[in-house]
Amino acid sequence: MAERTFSQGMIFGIVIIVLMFGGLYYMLSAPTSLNGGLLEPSNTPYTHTINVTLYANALGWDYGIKGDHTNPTFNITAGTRIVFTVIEDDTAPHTLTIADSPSESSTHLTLVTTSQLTQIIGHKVVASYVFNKVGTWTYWCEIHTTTMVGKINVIASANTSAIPNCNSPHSAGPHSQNNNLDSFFQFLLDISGAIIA
Amino acid sequence: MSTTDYLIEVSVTISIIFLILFFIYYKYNSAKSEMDSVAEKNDYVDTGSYFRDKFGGKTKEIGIKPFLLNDSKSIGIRYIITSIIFFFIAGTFGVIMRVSLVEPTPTLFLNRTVIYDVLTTQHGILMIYMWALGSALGFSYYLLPSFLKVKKDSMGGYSSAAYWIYLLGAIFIVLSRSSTRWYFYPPLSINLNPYNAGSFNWLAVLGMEMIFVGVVIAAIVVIKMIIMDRDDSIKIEQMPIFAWAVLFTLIMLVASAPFFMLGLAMTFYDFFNPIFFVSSSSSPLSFAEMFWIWGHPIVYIAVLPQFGLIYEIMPKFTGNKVYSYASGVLALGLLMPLSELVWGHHLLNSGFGIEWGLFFATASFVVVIPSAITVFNYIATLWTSTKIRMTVPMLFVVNGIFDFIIGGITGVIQSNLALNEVLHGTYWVTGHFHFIFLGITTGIGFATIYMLFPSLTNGRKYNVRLAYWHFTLTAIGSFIMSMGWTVGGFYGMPRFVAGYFARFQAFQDTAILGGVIVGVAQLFFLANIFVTYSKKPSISTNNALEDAYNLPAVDGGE
Repeated sequence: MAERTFSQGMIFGIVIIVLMFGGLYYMLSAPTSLNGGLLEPSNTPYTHTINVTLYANALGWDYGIKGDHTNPTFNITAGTRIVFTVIEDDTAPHTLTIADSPSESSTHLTLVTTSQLTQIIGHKVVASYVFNKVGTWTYWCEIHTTTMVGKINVIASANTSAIPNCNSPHSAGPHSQNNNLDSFFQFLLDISGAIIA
Repeated sequence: MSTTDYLIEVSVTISIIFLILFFIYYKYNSAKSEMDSVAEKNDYVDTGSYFRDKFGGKTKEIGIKPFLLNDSKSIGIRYIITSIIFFFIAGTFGVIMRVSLVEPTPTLFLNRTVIYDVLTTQHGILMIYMWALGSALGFSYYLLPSFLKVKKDSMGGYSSAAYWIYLLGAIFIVLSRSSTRWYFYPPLSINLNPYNAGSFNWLAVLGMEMIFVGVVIAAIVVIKMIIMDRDDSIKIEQMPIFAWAVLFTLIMLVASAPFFMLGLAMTFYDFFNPIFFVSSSSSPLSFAEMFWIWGHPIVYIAVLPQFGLIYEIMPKFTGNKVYSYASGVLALGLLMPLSELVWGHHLLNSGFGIEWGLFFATASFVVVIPSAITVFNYIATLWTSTKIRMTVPMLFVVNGIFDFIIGGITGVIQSNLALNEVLHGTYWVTGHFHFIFLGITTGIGFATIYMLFPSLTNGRKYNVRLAYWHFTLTAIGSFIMSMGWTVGGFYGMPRFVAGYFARFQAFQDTAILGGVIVGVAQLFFLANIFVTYSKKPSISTNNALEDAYNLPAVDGGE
């Protein structure tokens, strides 16, 4: 033991140095690019404003009419500022979260948080966002991700007047995650059928 | 191949695997019950400890072996290794934070100031829970068995499990990159906020809870060691003061940790269903109260064992006994209940009302009494000595007393109700506790490591010149840094922010100078490890701290 020159103590020192710089690199590489550009400064220019009232219910977002849980799709033009008025409709906690992707994404922005929207029916929270990026956006509730999810289509042409139109729930199409889940269930059904046969 | 065939094959394979697993479990279980009965015959509760004592050798050295054994010395070395590593990680964060404040406008973290919040959070949590608490637990595990000549070292399994839970919790904290400060105030901590730096707050809360589980288990094991496993020849009224200090500390820890553990559990629930700490059904302030009932004792937990260590280190270099054993123990004992009563002074401006404010302010003033007893006891011990040997550990001790006096006085001043309105949330507070944490916690921690050096490094001497530079730069740098903060804070320089008003630049730059000096000083410690290990072991592995209880030892320095 006494003959060792490169001993465990040396390794200890090297481990310290490696972890020092590794830890620093890890902290400094924290993604702070404001959610891939989702969070915009409050003075972002916008062409016009539309008001959207959403009822937050665990069965689905309601637009306009309470109780049909449609998860409406909004078609707007780029540069539109949507003022969301989120109203608590059941006693469950909800968020209003958006992402610039066709499905839920980990780089997202929560416009209305659970601590803002209380669980008292009728409680109202107003939040706004300027949709500048063209493409399909997704809005959802982070707690009820499979039921409360809808789309916002942002179109480039700035001339057409943007009127949010409420489509039927089927036009939004089944969610991709549900697709996977459905095929999985179908697979299970096939297997069980095969066993019984 | 049809689905049916495939399914049958899979089922048969899985069944065989499970049969093999069951067989292994059966063999293990029968062997374990045999081992248990053997261990029980030999009067051991913990089977692992019995076989460790019977077959495995004990180790006193830094390395990989302590991580495989579970005797108290090994557990102590594990905690010491971990605490040193995390001290360097968190220290790097601190230095980078300092350097980023060189200009009033954020320089290093321009447009991403949340990095500053992340670094502040990590620096605070890791320094307190991993360095201060970890090194205190490490020294307790390492020193107490020989100080108290423990009869039986039989709780190794629990200690080992506690250590791994604690370490995993710390790793979770680091991985979370959380940007809630070390106090986890909601609603910031219950929001998985838009910045990714805070989107893993749940992991930080989970990691914190794991650290607590580990620490509380370890605390109970050490309390049991002190009270029940002490040798009959050492009476409780003659215990080393370090044992008293650890006992008081850990009783305090076990008494106050549940508040914050419960608060964390409620915070975790709030991620899914916010009812506990939101303004609609409760108040975020209730979390702050639950936190500070724990949060004030933790800062005493970080210094009390070190006070005990000063009582152990000092006589080695002054040649006489501690001036007054009884008053030393009494002072440490008084600090225990008082620290539980003063937590409200962290929230003096939160609207408690003047009655509570006066109560907490008065209680905070009363803390002066035991602190002053302790300091005067140290001074009297130095005063009555005929010759003081100013070795590196002793220099750390003297500097620690000096820094504790400054830090203590600045602390008492800010508990004044009127002044607190001005001083709270400023760098005054940062300066106050960095005086104490750098002087006492870090200084005495390194003093103890230098004292234990021959044991920890398998009989090597530390390089005195490098150690002397380590001490000198730490002492000078920490004084400059903390003084810059204290003075700047008195002018209203706010803390916890990535930028500042231009009129504070002189104070900030002073603090940066000090901070960089402290950072460079720790590199001398690192260099010391390399220099030491490049030489062959030349002295006995006994150390000066345990010599009275152990074998004749040699002084660590060369």
